Amino acid sequence: MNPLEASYRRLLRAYPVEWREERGEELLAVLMEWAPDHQTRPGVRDALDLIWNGLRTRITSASRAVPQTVMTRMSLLSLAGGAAMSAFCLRYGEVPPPYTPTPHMLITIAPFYSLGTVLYVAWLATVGLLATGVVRNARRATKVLVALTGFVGLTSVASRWNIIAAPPLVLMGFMGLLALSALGAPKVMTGSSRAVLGGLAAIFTGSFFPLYAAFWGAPESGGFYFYRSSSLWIVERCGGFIALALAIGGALASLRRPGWLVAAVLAGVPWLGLALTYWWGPSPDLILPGVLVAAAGGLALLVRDGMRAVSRSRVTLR
Amino acid sequence: MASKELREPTFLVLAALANGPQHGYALMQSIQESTQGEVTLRPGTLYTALDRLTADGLITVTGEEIVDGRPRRYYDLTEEGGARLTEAVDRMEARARAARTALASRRRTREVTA
Repeated sequence: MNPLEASYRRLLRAYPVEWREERGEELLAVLMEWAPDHQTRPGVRDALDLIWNGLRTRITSASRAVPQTVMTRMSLLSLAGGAAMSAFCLRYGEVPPPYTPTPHMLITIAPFYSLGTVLYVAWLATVGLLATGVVRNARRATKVLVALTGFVGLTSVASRWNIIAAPPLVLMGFMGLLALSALGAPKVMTGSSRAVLGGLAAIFTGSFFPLYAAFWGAPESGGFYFYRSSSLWIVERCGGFIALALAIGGALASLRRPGWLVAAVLAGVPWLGLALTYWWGPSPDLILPGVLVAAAGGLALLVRDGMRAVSRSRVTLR
Repeated sequence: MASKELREPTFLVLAALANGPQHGYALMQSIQESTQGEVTLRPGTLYTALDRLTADGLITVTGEEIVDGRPRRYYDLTEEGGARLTEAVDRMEARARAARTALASRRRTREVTA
């Protein structure tokens, strides 16, 4: 084996094992024919092309293991989850005003606290219209919700409006993207865009939060303020949302490894409880367990279907 | 209802296969030649496109041989692939015709004004 072939074989490891077993030698033959004479190392563009397409193939093949019923359920869960979160935030976040007025409080939408009200009402209305069949294009409606989530978040930060609570904003953005990715599967899971979208949503959720916090906060006594709270508590308050979001992201990308997903959910649920308790105080005694059970139940269904899909694909491979 | 527009790599692969069954490397060469070297589909991109087109039923594997100890597969258009390519070509031709008509009309208007 010459050095060029060895290098290409290393790059082909970006592809899934099953794909390599079936198509790897064929692609390697093309790569060797394609390479100019006397070339000893892959070009940078060819290397990036192989790595990028290998990763795309990994995501696509993982998402193809997800049956359509799971995707339908995931889209319904995401839309319903966003609606439930909207109702919860309207009741416990926006009205009555949860904070004592201070100089920090800027413009409110009386009697509501922040621009988040617009998003929550829009989300509830959209899900209601979809449920009653008045609006039929769920994908387009969800696109509007995702755009509105971004718009409300950015407008809150950039203007003098009170800033919407970040965890629900981020989680709702995530749910919108998740619903959008699941709704993008018209017949079966083909194409990589939906899975890529799910992965990006997980990354976005993980990275957006610290950025958002940093934007709001100012350095003070060893940290910065976030919603008039010490940054030292941010992880406690928000870690659950990030963990949950990553766990849901895992449902898209890692159903072939349900063990990982189960571990993420188990790690995420206590964090979520802690975060919600901190965020909304002692009020949600009954709602909190309900939200947790609903979230855990939905995810458990996804995991169960994912495991069935894996066992089915194993039977097919044999 | 008109189907979704084909992306450029998809269109180029289908157009290259309109000549008949081809293997991966030959496809890359055909595409490079047909676009006068403007477009080069790299091997990774080509095989991602081939996977997608096969999954969508637009192309199929028609044969396989071993060359220098490595497999070489031949791909060809399916009926559906041919129909999609025809539809895409018709759409492009209609647009090109409309653009030509608009350009001719503009030229005439300028000549009259001058």
